[in-house]
Amino acid sequence: MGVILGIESTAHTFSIGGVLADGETIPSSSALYRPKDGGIHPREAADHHSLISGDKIKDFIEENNIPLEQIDAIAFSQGPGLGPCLRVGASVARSLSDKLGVPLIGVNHCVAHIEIGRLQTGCDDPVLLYVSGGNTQVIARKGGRYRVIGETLDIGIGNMLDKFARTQGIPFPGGPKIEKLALEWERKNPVTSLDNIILPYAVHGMDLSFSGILTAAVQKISDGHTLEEVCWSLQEHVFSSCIEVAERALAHTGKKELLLGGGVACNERIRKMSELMCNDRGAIAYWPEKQYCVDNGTMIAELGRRMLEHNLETKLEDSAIDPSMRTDHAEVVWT
Amino acid sequence: MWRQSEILHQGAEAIVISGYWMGDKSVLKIRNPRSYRHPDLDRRLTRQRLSVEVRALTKLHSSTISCPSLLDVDIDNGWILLSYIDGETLYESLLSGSSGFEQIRDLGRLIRELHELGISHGDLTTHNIMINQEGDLSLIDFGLSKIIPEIEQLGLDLQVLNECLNASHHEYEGAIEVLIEGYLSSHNNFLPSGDEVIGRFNAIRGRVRYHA
Ligand SMILES: Nc1ncnc2c1ncn2[C@@H]1O[C@H](COP(=O)(O)OP(=O)(O)O)[C@@H](O)[C@H]1O
Ligand SMILES: [Mg+2]
Repeated sequence: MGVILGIESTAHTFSIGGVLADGETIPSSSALYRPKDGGIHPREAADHHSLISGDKIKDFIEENNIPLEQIDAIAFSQGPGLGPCLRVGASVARSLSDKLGVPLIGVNHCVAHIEIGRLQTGCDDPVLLYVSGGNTQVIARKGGRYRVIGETLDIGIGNMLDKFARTQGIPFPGGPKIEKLALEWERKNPVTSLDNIILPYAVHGMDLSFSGILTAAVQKISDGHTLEEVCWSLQEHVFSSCIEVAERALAHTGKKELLLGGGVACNERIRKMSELMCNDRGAIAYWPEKQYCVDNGTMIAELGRRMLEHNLETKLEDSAIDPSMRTDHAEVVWT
Repeated sequence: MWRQSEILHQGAEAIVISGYWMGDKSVLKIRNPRSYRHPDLDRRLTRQRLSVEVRALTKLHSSTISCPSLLDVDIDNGWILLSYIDGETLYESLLSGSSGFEQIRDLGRLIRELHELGISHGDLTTHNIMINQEGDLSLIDFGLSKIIPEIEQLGLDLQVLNECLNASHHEYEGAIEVLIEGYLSSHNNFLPSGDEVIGRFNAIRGRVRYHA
């Protein structure tokens, strides 16, 4: 059966994955660029990606025994993302497609998170709560396009967590460690009050912001609160604000399914909150396996597969990357 | 004194029930606890939002802006009793085509009037704007509003509405430009000026792209 390959390189992750024509997934092989001093260096990330991309692709094809003649198309993240990183993925994809003589399909990274979630969980018409490093958006389908209903006005939630972690000497990515510390605090203090450690809660209509809470959390450490307690409060505040906006989106759109996506969707607390919120309003919460929450090539392949079914190939002259590609840029013709 | 008739709306935060209060048609808005958030946080948000809603409605009562009047409130139990506003939401009205660009322009002007009173709404979606048969607009749901807001909050009102117009009313292409026209049509000398707020809105709009 034919295989669609997907190449992801919007930010820190370079990843290649695949999906069979019938929708069976082939798990991705990924490499994460970890900045040495914590900061974000798009160019260094891009250098990392170009250094490892050749081997990654070769190994992926070999390890999964994919005969080259069975490759039907090459999908890649065309945007949104960091320009230098996107460029690596795009040029790798172009040369693969040229070498194999198969179609090239430029896909929208955010939409790919929805499509892998739909494929994996079987949900049909969800509101997506997309919580990753660079992105925090609430997206839903309306009038034949995926539209952004709400989003962060400053930094992405994952970015905020990573930045806070870095101030405490926790290496990138800091989210998982923050989750552990928060759990520790809960385990040791089962009946503690959140009123002792109040942080800003920034919901603006359907939008969110996180830079204020970052500053405030750092201040709480200076005030003498333990790192564990601050991590706990931080999670309670920011996840609640995301779930609140997701719930508003469900109320406004009348949809009954919530899908989580993005790296922060690996967090057990935000998953639990989604479930509680959905149960209360007769909706259902879904999330894909962790490997498909984080950036991965398989999701790019999956969106490529849906587009290929409708002959939505990308011509070479249209294959330029678009770092600020909008979620509603393309019509969604597939079901 | 209160006679319940029907549930109008089961939203993300509150349940809104219509009924009669001392014979007058009114609505009871109850903010039920959200089980997903920590009870301390939930209590804090509910109190905060109820009290700011009370303050905004009180301030608006003596203005020309149409909004519900405050009949009663119980902050501890999370409910507020408001006068009933006749009509439908602007969301529905735009969807059915009863409203269009003319109302969007009026809305721009109304938002400026609100801002000139020193209030930002904080949750300006078309679900929180009502319109009656005569085409008069009313504002509701002031739980996220700010009294004496900073210019950022004024710009944010427009951004929230812009996002809503894009997401839910994309068939009205260029709606935000029409809204801005309305916003700038008031010529009071209130500061920050309309141009300054639109400048801030454009800055916010530009910021909200990809955040690396
Ligand atoms: N004073 C009112 N008169 C008539 N209908 C109202 C009134 N207040 C609210 N509603 C209806 O209830 C809905 C939800 O009310 P709102 O105050 O916006 O609560 P929520 O916080 O749940 O959004 C509105 O969209 C509107 O249809
Ligand atoms: Mg409302």
